[in-house]
Amino acid sequence: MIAALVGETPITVETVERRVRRLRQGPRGELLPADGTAEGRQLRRWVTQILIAEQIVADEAARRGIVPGGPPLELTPTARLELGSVMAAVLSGNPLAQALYRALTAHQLIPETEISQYFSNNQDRYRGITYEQAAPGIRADLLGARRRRQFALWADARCARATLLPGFEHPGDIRHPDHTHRH
Amino acid sequence: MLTIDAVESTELFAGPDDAPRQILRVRTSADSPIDLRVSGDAEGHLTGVPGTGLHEIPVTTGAPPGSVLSVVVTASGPAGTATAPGSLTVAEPGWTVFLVSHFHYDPVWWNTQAGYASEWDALPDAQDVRMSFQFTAFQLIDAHLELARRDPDYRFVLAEVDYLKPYWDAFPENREIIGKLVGAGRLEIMGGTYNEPNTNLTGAETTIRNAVYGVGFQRDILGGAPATAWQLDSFGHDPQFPGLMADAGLTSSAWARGPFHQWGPTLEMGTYDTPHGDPSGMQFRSEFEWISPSGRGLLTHYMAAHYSAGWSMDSAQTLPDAEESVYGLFLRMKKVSATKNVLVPVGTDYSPPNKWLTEIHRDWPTRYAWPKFVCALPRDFFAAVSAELAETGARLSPQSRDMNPIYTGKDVSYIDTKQAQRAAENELLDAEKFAALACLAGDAGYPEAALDKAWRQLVYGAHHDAITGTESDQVYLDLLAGWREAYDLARQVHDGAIRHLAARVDNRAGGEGHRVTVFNALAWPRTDVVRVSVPAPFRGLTDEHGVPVPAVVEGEDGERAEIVFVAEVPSLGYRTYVLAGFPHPVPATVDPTRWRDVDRVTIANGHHRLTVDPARGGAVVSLVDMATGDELITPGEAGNEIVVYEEYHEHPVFREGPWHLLPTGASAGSASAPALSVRAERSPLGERITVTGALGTIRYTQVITLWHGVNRVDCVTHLDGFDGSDQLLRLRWPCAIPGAKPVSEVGHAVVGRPFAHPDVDAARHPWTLDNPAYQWFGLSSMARVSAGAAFGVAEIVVPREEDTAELGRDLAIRLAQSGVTATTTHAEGNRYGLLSFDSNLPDVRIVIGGPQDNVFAAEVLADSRHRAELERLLAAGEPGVLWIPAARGPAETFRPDADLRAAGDLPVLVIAGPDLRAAVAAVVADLADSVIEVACAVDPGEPAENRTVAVLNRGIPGFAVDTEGRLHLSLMRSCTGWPSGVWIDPPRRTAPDGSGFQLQHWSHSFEYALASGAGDWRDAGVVARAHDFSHPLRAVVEEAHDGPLPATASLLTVEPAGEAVLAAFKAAGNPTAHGRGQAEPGSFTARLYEPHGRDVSFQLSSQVPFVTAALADVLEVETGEAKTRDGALHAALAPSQIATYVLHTDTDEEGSESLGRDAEPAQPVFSRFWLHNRGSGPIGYQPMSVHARLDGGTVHVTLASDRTDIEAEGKLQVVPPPGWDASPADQVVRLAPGDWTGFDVTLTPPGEPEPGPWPVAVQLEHGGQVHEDVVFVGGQPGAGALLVDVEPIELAPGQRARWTVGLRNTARFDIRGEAQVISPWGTWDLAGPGVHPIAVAAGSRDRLTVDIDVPLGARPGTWWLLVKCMWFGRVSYSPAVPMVIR
Repeated sequence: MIAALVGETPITVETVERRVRRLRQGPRGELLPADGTAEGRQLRRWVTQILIAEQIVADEAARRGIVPGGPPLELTPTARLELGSVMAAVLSGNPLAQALYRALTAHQLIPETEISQYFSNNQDRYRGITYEQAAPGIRADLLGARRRRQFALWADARCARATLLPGFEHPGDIRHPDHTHRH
Repeated sequence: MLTIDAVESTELFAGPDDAPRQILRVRTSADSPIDLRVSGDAEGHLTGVPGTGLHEIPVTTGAPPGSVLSVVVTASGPAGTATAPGSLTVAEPGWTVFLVSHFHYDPVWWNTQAGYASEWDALPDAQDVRMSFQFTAFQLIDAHLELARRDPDYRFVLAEVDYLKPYWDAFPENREIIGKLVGAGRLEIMGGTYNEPNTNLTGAETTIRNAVYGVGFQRDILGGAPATAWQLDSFGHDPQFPGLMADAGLTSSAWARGPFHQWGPTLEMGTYDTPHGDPSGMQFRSEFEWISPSGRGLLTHYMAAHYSAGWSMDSAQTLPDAEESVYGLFLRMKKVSATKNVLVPVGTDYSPPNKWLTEIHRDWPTRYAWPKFVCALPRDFFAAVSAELAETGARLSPQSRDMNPIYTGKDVSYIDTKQAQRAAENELLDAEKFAALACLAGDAGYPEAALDKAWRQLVYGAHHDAITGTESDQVYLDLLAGWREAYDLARQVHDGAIRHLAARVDNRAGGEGHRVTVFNALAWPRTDVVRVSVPAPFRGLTDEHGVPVPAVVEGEDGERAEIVFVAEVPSLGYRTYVLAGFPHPVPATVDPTRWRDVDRVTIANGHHRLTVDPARGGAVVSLVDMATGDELITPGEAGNEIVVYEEYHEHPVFREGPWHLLPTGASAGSASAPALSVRAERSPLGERITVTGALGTIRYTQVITLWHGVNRVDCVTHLDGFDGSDQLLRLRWPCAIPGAKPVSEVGHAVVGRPFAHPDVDAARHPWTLDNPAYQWFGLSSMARVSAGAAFGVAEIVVPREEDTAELGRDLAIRLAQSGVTATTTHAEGNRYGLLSFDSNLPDVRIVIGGPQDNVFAAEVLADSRHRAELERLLAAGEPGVLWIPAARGPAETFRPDADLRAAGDLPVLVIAGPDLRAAVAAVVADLADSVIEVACAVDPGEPAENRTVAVLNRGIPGFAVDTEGRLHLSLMRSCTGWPSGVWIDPPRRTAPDGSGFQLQHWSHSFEYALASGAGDWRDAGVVARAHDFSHPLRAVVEEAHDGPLPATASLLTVEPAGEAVLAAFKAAGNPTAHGRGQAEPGSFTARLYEPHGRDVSFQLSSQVPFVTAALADVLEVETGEAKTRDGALHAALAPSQIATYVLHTDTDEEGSESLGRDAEPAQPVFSRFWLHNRGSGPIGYQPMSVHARLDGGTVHVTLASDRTDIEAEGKLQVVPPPGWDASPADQVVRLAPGDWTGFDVTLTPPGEPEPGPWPVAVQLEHGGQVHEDVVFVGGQPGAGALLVDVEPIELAPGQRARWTVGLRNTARFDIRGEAQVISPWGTWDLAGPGVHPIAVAAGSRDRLTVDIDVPLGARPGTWWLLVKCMWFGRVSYSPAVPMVIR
């Protein structure tokens, strides 16, 4: 039984169920929504998206010859929010995904004008600090945001190409019956 | 090979702006580049484009918009030539789509206040139905601000004070950027209200205070410029809402729910949450003038595709896909736009910034000149709408349509919270009046701090997931504690104020002994029942002249006697009664002190005679209005019957539970079985009958009392033993009045409403048309025609769309003032009256223009008799006002599947004449008496009987009147649909039987009354009687004494009595709301409304003269002069107007006696109050706040001032764990208005610190209170560190007891905080106080004692009690244990 296809690679229902079981055995497992409920099915759909994203990361890393490595990637709450929950989940615990993230987004640059514009637009953050002192931090912040956006857009677009079978639709897809915006 | 695969017309234009060229989309297939040419009625070309792909060819044409042109597309290139015909629909350039970034926020719903504000991630049980993009308020504000800091094109809105206040105080370092973005027009602070309240479930005063606290914070404290009432998600709206908001200085409103069912005009059965449906079935444009019964209104944008319309593009994978999504939405929404401006809200519940928004803003103009897609603010949209209207001279359509019902379950789910809200609101209004009068009388200080907090808690609870009963179980308990707190604060002020006044009365006449001073909170004289506890033994009562007054003892022990009597009390004043003391008993009448059994089933007073049938469950089989002789009960039917309806667990299609009524169609009534007992009693005060019976597991006790001199049928229904799931209980009074229509009171007005369908199967017919009433509903007439028919809800049909304002507005306003809401449509457009589409139904059409003017009139006048009569009238120079009865009766047309759109479905009033404006003006003038003179060519049928039956309620708002004339009052329901039973902070608590609290498995009492009379509800005086029922007389008992006030007096008088209702009387100004200190004494605010749809002049006078007076807005800002003469205010009100006056006396003495609490009982006050799920903030509203954040060994402390008038000063102290050192440890901080400061405290542990966690408190002494924030070093304690242990309690009436709560601190640190005693409505006068400070030393046990005092007259029943402890940001709930009164 297949839940989704990433290119030619199937993600089986068994793989999905195994991952769900692993989550259930984890630290917050007892708090996950029960099987057979709409929320339980939504959890399965979310896990499917994680597995798809992991497969895409693995494929791309293999294609580029990337191996795990580098310091762990720290994600602030705002960063997680910018990435979306699936990409945030894939990136936070996965050294291969982090390496791919670095490689994919390595070319991003922040023009000096953007840094100076940010500096002048956000003076509340730089009282008593010169531009020269502030610039490295601003550059790092803006670069981080830009890299996260690039990675999330890249990964989202790839994930969207996956074929999803009934019951394993994207959890945010409003067309399936478990999508709950209940008022 | 070259083919042209598709030719598609678009509404896109290439530039330049002033010479735009419309774009034709052409899809081709070819291997090599091609040239494209468009010829025919439009021309254009592209050269050298790829052979395969979609091409956008700009074309020019001279044809006007809407023309359909034939074109030929020719493609040529190396692969050959192809031609294809196509058509181009000429579009209009000049459109702008305003993409408004927002997030919708519910401060409470299934998750808690703490969860939604900041703690969602830390609450494992709050992850279940969280969607992947949903975040807390703090995370969202941060994310939106960060994007705005980076991206100069980003604009967004913030709205709810529920998150603004905490964020503003806790992160003052962002005050500057917020102010800067506001100033730059990139951030709009929306709403001018505290939250998104369900104004249809509270009184108008609560709505007004919502604006006071909203504008006060958003404008004065935060520095925003709120202009738009931003009521995205509210489940319907009070009809007076737009007028009130206009009076609060707002200029527009925007929201998503009202005229159609929950998801708007795009909802279809079987579909769900469709954001992109077609709204073109609407009868009016999405921008309209929304008009109140007061006649005032607001420019309004209705979000026809809902408040999350534009959010779905977030899931697009590419920018072009996102742009195409917006373009698709534009094409649908422009169909209903009033101008060439379309508002698209981009955001949904708790959503972060949309990922494509500013990219669209930048990219789209590089592709197209029109339409413009811009990231913008609502104010940009409304300015563009207004500018276009000014430029074209077009006017918006006037709509006074009732924006209800939405989500019928909201009127009854968690019914006890609605009872609590109403009681607290009335207690507070009365408290405010008497506190102001106590200040007028001298020596009292106005208890602004207590009243302020009470109002804020009510405003907080008015949120559309709070008062609506749609919340989870834990949130219900949190909210219930807030309502109780508001009630207790108000009660304390109320008692304090009337005691203050009573103490100043010279009541020595009659000699030594006790006096009963009875207070009337209403501004008309009253004769009504009063209950009071007096010293025992009770020996009799006289009035101040020594005339005996009959009184009945309802309970007595050695100490106290609970007596009841009928008092006559002047307008907003008091009367002294004398308690007879030994040795001077009042001359005995016939056993004056008890109810005595009589062997009858009929009771009577001078107003009504009522008979119950023991064989039919004790239901009322006859109720005669003695004044008119009318039998009010429909022959053969039974009144006061309890009916249990089976419900679905959730709606089979919509999957909605607590907010949707879900009857299956199966029901059982109490009249189908004999009563268990029927007991009639008589006393000198009146007669009463008590019936008991059983209906399934439910045991019911119903008491009906007819008091001599009181023109009401007072009823109470007690229910015990209810253990149902998915059941709805209604109470039914079949009181058919032929031709009468349902009417209901709303906030400060009365409106007509459609017939309802309480008995349907909601799977087939989801729209039962239950509605919320304020104090009463009934069968009567809003307006009538002289031919005899009554009507209450209108569709005004003008000839053409451009006539809606010109011909419809004055009529819509005058109808609204008379309580007839109207939808203004035009003859060529859609009709109003399809129940599967419209949220409610009209009962009359008013057609402006004759058959030559108005195509719908031509259809209506198809019958030549009507046409001939109209021609005759006009030829004779008579008013062309013709009544055409409906082809079918209401029972036939007002069905659950009603479609009333055909010409003959409703009666029609045709207004015709050579000058249509003059003809309409004549009818407008004729509405002054609510009766329109008409001609009628045919037999108009039986005239509507001109009489009224009304049911008055105390906090039971849900009602349904079916076409058979059965008045249904929704009592309660037990809904298991999600989020019933949801609990966030473990361990989960339940009612003692293990059920969710939403199931309401405890004893309930429902109080209501019937009123009747000849004529319509105005003639029958129902409004005043409903106020009487809602505001029982209150009495104070004390020893006789001297004083400056006379024994009996009116402290405030409005004349003529009852023609203008004094809705509020208070000290002028709401300083805390605006960040200011105490108001100047000596000025008072009076708010009055006209209740009957009539022009009225009135005068308002007091014992203390009003030297000057001013007209004011609802924020109490003076706007113009008002007339005073001889110390009295003289003013006039337009029909249904709500007017505020500020009255100045020449006393400016600040009294000293405190009438209410001005500090929290539990000190220090925890500054992050939202973590305690505690509502809208502590007493004083933290005008100076302290917040701490831990970073390694450093505590970052911020202090922020919300004062707007003066410098704030506070004393700061850091309290480190024992043995630790903190530096600096204390200092004095001064802050300029709105300013903040921050500094770091370094913590140094002792040499060998004990393992943590350890609290570090940062305390700020300011304004007579100590505020503190607490952070932990060495780990985080769980809520379980404090264990709360409680025992069941069982007591008898009259018994006093102490209920002991065990507190066990298992932590190594001392715990301090507060505890709230939580119990359902109906028990609050038994156990108290509601709030207790707690302090439990490390590792030790303590006890909390709650006093229980059961009144002698308490009824037996089973309720529950629990204790919620809050400390250092943690919440610990005890289990709920039974509280039984035997």
